[in-house]
Amino acid sequence: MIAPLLNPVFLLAVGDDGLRRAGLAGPAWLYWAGWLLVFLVVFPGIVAYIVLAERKLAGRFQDRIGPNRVGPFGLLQPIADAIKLVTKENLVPRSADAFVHLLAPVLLMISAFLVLAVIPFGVRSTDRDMIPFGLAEAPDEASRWYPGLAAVDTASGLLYLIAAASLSVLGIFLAGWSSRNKFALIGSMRGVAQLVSYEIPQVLSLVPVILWTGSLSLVGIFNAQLDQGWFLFSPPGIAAFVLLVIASIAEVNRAPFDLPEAESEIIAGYHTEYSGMRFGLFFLAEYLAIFGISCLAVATFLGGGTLPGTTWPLGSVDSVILANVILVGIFGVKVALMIFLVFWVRATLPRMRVDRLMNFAWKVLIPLCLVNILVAAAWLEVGVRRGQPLLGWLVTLPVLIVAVAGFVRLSRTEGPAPVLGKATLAQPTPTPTPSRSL
Amino acid sequence: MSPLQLIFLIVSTVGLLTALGTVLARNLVHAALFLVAFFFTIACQFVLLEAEFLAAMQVLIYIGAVSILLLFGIMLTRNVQGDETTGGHWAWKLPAGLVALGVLGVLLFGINAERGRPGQESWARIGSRPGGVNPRIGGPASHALAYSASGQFVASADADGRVRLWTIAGNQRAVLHPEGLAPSAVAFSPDSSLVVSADDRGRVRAWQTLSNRTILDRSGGRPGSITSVAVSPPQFEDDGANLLVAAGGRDGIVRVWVGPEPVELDAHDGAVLAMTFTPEGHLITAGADRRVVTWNLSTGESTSIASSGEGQPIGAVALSLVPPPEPIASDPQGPPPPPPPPPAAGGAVGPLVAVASLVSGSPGRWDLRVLNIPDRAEVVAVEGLRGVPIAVSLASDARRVAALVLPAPGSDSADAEAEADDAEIRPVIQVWSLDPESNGADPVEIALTGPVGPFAQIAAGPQGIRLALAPEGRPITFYDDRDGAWAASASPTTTTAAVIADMPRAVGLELMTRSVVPFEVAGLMLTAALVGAIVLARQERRDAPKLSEALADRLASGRPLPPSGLAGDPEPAAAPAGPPGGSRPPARPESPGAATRSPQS
Repeated sequence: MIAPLLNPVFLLAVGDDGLRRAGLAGPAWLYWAGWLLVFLVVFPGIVAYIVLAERKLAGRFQDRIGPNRVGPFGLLQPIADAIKLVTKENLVPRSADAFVHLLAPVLLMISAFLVLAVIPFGVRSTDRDMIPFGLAEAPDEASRWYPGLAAVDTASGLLYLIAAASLSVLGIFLAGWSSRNKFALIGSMRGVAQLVSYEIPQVLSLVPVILWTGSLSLVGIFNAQLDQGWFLFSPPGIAAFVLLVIASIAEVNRAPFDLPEAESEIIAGYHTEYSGMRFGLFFLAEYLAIFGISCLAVATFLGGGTLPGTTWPLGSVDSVILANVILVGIFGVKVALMIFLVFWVRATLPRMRVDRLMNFAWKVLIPLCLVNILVAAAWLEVGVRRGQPLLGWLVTLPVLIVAVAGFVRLSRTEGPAPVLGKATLAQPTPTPTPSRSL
Repeated sequence: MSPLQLIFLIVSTVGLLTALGTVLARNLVHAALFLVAFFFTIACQFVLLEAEFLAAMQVLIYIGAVSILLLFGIMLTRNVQGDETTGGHWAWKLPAGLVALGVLGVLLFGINAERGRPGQESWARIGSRPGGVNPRIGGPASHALAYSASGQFVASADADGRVRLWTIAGNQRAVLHPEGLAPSAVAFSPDSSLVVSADDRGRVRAWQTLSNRTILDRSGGRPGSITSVAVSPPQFEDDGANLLVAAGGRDGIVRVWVGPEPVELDAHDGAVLAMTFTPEGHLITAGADRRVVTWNLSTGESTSIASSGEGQPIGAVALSLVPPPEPIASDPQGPPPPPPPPPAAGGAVGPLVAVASLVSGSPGRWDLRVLNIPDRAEVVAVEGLRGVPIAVSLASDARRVAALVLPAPGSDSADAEAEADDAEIRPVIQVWSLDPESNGADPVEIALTGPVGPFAQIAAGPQGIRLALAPEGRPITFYDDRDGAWAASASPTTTTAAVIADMPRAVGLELMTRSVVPFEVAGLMLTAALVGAIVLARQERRDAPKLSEALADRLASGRPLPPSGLAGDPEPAAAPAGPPGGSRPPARPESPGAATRSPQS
């Protein structure tokens, strides 16, 4: 009687196969109800505490304590913030496009949620009993996959993830456009330009992973890393991971790429005219996106919930529940480290200038990604197929070092920022310059 | 209506509404937003068609790139906020409307056209459609029918030159291409793993039913009107080299392919009406000369039995397929065949032959005999039936025999006045049970609603009463037994909707196959008209009143700041670049501090 009611609670931990084995399997809608619960309660809860962690960490980085008033160690601060945001008045500018004004943050948030749907947090079964996508049969065990604990597991999962993430551009544009505020519009134009530019290196840096896996499914990527080891452990893997992290930080508008909301220049950028819970939605979407890119990086390069060099607990732990507790735990630790990295970068690096931001994407990241794809192909041939990782390192590492040094050197520009339309500006009256001879 | 269809309807409705919104919205950004929503519904349609990759690409490219580009373009115009509503000169609207109509026409006809990629069916005819899409509606008529012994499939040799496999629910499962003349006979192998067709040029072709793969393609047989075909059960791990295929024609000659070249057996004096292979590899042929011959192809021996008595010409004859004792799953990738049918009742184990023989001298009368071929025992014998039998079929589990009976030529019959006229006009399918306990019982009768023609075919299936009827000139109809009552299974063929749905396909076929060039010419002319209209409209706009002189001067002068305003704030850009300690106001040029700050520049 109680057991079916608890199903949604167990779902994240054990998955449907585990439930079926434990005799707790309910109807199909319970499975979806469980995931809905995860998406509506667990993920926003995680996000709330990511916000708190950021405030605490930023405080420590700046030699402060951070929020510590609400609850023990300030642990209830997110709840207080949520109550504040919900009860605040929603201000919509009179000339704003009211519907689009509402639509924009919702779109952003949907995009951030959709990304999480294909991430395999654990496994649904401790046996290799899933036939890979694209194969009609897989007779031997080595060629089969562990089914992944993802809400949706499609053959083109990575593509779906990128597509869902690209929806956020639309939300940012609409937020700025509908506000009828020039700062908001400037912010959204900056945002669209930046997001469109950095989407390319983000996608290209995932190509090596697809190359090595031979599948777009994130479950397939997870399983390939069980066989080949973490994708991070190769020169092209390291390069792709770094490129992915940089491009992803830019995709979620975090410092040093937070030009769309640069508060010293354009107030708050595209969400200048938002208040109350609508602003809260932007907030939620931003931190959900951070969580999402961290999960993506962990799932694609850091081996999901496994430890380096081993597939433990898969293969040795039989209980689905126990294996998933371990897997999801390790996954969570890795995600936390990734999020910490994002905070660390924000606390360390100053904001980039607009022209340098664009130069960095188009002149450094994208060429590097393209070179890295070639290097990744070489690694696939030497390091993976022929099983000579040492030779692979020798072949690929120098190429990458030369490429990185070359592109960084080539893209370096001296002098102040170019001013567009300089010719049409009124020339300032020449002022007497201080004499250098003094 | 299935939930999937409901979702499809909702998505389509939303898609149409958003497409309308794209066209009708006066605000450019709103129009672009509607376009985004429309792209999204297209992605939803792809998901419904189980094309997730395309759906992701649709979102990625059309929403993530194309619509963003559009919005960027809007932002780069003067009309950034979209406050100015869109309008246009007639010279723009007219060609735009023409082009839109032309594109609509091309789409309407083009989408429905019967064209596919080389070697592939057009969309209108693709058989194995993914979920959410209806089974095929309508279709060409069939020359021949066969029911697989496993009861899974019905094969039809169709008038459009293709062989189709149907599920017993009436859904099209696969379309096979014999590539050549339209096949005139089709049959399954006894274990149901192969389907074979033969055409009148003496070519036979066999496919695996589960994978639709061609396993055998032989030609060189003597041309002639082929009436029946049969294929032996494949040996395990067979690539088709050891298959025995036989085809018989109206000339009474059976063409047997043991190797690439056929061997001819002068089997019957009349047409070869039916043939089948036994699981042991023996060929059984039934001819119009009232003989049923069993051929041992390895030794060349043959034994013949009489199927009907003297003076009783054969109306129709059917041989039953005998499934092998253990059905061989020839294709491990496919679903396993259903469990073998229960052993035939009545002690009839061997292949059966069902003969509908006319009674000479009394038109409109016929006899039905079912014989067990090995021991020549009579399983069923019914005499003095009324009507003209044109087709019989034996179910492969040897439990039923079905006959398609045309109404007797009533005026000739002596007993015609005794019959109720209306009921007898229609053709009838009669089904006898071969179970011993029901022996002698009256047949189940299905009154057909329309004429079927003298060359109609019928196929009876095992495991419950299922029948497939191929009337002449019309698509196949499936009958099943629901609670003892016979009814045509829910085939949408006859509904008005089917006719309407089939119309654009036919029109599109005509137009696209004949009128591609005119369409292209029309498109070129429309493009030329569009370019001309744009040039025209631009010329008119050039005559529009110019900006006022004062405004133009003001714009040309750039910033309307007096030069004195800039002089009071020297080096404004240098101040933020100062060292961290430099919180003091920027030094005046004449102040002594300027000399100390010079190294920073």
